[in-house]
Amino acid sequence: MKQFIRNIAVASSLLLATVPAQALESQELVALQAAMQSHIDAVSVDGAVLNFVAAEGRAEPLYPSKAHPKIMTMGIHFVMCADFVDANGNSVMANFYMAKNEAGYVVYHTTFGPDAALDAMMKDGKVAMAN
Amino acid sequence: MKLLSGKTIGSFRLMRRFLTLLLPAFIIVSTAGLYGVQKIAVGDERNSLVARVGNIAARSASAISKLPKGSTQVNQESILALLLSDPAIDCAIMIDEKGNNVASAPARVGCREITKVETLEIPLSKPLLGVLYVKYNLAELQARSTFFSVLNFIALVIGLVAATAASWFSFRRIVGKPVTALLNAIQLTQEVGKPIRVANTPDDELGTVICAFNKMQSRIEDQTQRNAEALRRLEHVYNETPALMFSMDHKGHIQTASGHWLETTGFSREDMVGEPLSKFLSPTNSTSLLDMQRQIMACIEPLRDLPFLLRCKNGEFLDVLMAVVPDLDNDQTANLCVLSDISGLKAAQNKLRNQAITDHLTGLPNRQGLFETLNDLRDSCPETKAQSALLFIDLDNFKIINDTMGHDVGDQLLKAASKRLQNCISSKDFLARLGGDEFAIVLCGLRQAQDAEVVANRIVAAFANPFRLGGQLANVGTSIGIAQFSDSENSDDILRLADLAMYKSKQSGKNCVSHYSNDLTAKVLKRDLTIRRIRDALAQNHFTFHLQPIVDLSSMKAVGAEALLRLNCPNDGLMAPSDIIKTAEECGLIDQITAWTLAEAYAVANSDRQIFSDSGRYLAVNLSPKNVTPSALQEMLERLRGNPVVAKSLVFEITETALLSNSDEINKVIQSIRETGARVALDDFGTGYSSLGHLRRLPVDIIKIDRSFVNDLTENSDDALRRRALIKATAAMALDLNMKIVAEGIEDLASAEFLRDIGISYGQGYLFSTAQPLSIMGPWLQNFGASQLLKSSKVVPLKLAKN
Repeated sequence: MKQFIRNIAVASSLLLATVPAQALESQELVALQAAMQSHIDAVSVDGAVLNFVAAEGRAEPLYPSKAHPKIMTMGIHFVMCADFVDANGNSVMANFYMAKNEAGYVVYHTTFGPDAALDAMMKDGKVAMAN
Repeated sequence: MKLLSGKTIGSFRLMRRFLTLLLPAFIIVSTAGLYGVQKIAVGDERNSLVARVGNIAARSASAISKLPKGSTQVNQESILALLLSDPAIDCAIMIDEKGNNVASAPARVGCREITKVETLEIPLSKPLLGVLYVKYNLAELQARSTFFSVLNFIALVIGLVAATAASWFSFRRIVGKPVTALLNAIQLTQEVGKPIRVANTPDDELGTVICAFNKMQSRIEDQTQRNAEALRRLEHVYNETPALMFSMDHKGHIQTASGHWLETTGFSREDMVGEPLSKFLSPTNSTSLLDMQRQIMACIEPLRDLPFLLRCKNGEFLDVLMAVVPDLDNDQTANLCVLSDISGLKAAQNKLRNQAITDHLTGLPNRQGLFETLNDLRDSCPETKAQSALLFIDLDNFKIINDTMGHDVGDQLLKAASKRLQNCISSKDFLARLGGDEFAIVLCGLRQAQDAEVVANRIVAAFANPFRLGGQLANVGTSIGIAQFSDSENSDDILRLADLAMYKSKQSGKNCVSHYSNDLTAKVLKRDLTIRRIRDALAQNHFTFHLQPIVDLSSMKAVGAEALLRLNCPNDGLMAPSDIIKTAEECGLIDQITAWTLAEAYAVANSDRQIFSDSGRYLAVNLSPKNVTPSALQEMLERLRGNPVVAKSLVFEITETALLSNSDEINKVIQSIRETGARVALDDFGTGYSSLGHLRRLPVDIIKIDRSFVNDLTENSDDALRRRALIKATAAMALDLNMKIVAEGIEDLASAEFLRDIGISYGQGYLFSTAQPLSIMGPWLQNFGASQLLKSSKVVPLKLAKN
């Protein structure tokens, strides 16, 4: 029996040592989601966020579809994602680069479509999942 | 696992150990897995929840901000009320820039308390400036978490039970069954005593083990059978080998005994096994049985030839030698002992020993027996030695009797003499025959040294009476030498000293008793020196001949020469032959000297033919037939037969005593010599017991009258008169028998003339010449004549014979 207990204890210790700590509190996650949604609403025109396509010299309206629950950290900043659809119903993913100020969280940069810079930073480990 | 014996051993404990390792691992891994799944699921739930709450709250705030100016609180609260449709949102309050509660949900109630925990603060944009507080809860999340936990626990328990049952079943089937079969086979092997194999062999690692076990059992069975067979053969050999074998434990008790032992001793196996060794064996040397036993048990190397007496059931004892073979492990638990019965050998040894120390003619101890007695006496206490003496007895005239009356009579004399000697000593004294006519007596327990002389005189007196031997009487005296044991420590010396004393008795006229004294030692030394010189002379050819001429008294020409033996010692010059011959006869070297003499005489006669055979001269050489060995005689005869010319020039002078012994052997020797053409001369005629009558039947060609008859022959005395008469008679007889006569010892011319006148053929003596080496005598013989004789100043002119 002693051996049994000892084995249990040893295995548990090993297991617990591998469990990662929780990164962000729910409070912050809710605030970040709300801040992103507020930003989208704030910059929306007739319910759509306009994506300026410089090569074509036009603004493409993108309609909010679904917010991603996953949030990434980039140093002291955050990166959040949300799905949009264009007028043709094609899905376009948007990345919102966010920072915290004294009033709360603000979006300081937005990308639509593929984000090579973010992919590179994720590959380099500069961007990690926060939850 | 249940074994045949009903015991539960082995695999149960194995399984318990197996489960002790398996179950914790299972629990931990399962728990961790479920926990991880739960964590991920709950995390996703949380993310969805916070995203949902954040989005709906933000959208509500945005909707309120977009209300037209002047919209009522009811409109605002209608939007806020939508928030409550989400079960995660508890309440919401909208505060304007002045801090007034503008709207709330639930309407009019709002949130009782706004804290920073689980409260979302969303700033409102123009035209309605202010803040929207949304209070939410994570109860949903906790409920999900609890649900997952319960689910996990149930899954864990079910998994645990299933894993345990599966393990138990699998273990029993895969491990328990073959292990039990294996253990049962081992147990049966142990109980039955023969290797048992396992019937069913699974196709896995345990099957390999069982196969190996079965092979091992087969090998053990084969080996056991071979061992049993070897043991049976060994037992057969052990019991049937004609050797007395037994093994002994460390306490000295007999463990096993071979059949031959039992057969030889008459004991049964039950009589012996477990009994102490001392009951059957006792050492015959000075070592105690206990010490021998320790030696046997402690041995790590084989022991050999330990002497013991083995007791038989009938009370007899056997002489045995024990060999010990140490136990293989050297643990001294069962050394094998092998006894060799040497009783027969001992008896034979004793018989041989008795034969070796016994004189077969008289039955007395011989020289070897005497030495053993002397050695025993030497090892005895000083008092015993001081009271002991040795008598050395030599029979006087035995040689003459032996030569004249024959060896059979001589043997009878020795037997009779030994009985007389035995009668003269007491039972504690020791009589031995040393050889020939020599005896020795060890006198023990003498009260004083003079007692030895008393005994010796008693012996001399006992021999005063003649012996009656085959109808003849023989007078034999005894010369006795006495040595006290205090004279020397050495047995050889004692005998030698007594011998010297006896020698003194001989020198003193025989038939008397002499004591050893130190002055005898010088004589012994001289004798030893002579013996050494003889040996050296034989080895280094120091012997030589000096020739004395024999002259025809009528013609005064040399007709021959007598070869006289000389020892030319490199350091001391020429030695007198009388000493040499006497000592050589005493020490047994005379045979070799005789052989040399014969060979040398032939060589001289053959190499100097012009002096001898070619000139009609002869070479005379002295021969003692009893001293010539058969081989030397045969060699000489072959030479003479091969060279008749030389044979005819050789004369062998044999003493009267030897010729008159009438021995067949001597007669054969003389006959064989004469058959070769050589002649035989009767030497020293007149000194023995012969008479003129004997001359008729003696096989001789020449008679040599002894010098004792010739000396001062011309004197006018009765003795000279009688000698002259005897010589005349001898000359007349010789003339009749066609024999030549040589007169020895002629030293004056008158004697020579007289002898010539009465018919003596030849003369020999200093008148003519002393003995000279061949180098001188050769020319002398050829040149000698009357003229040379007349030149000698002391010589009176000799009247030559008329014819």
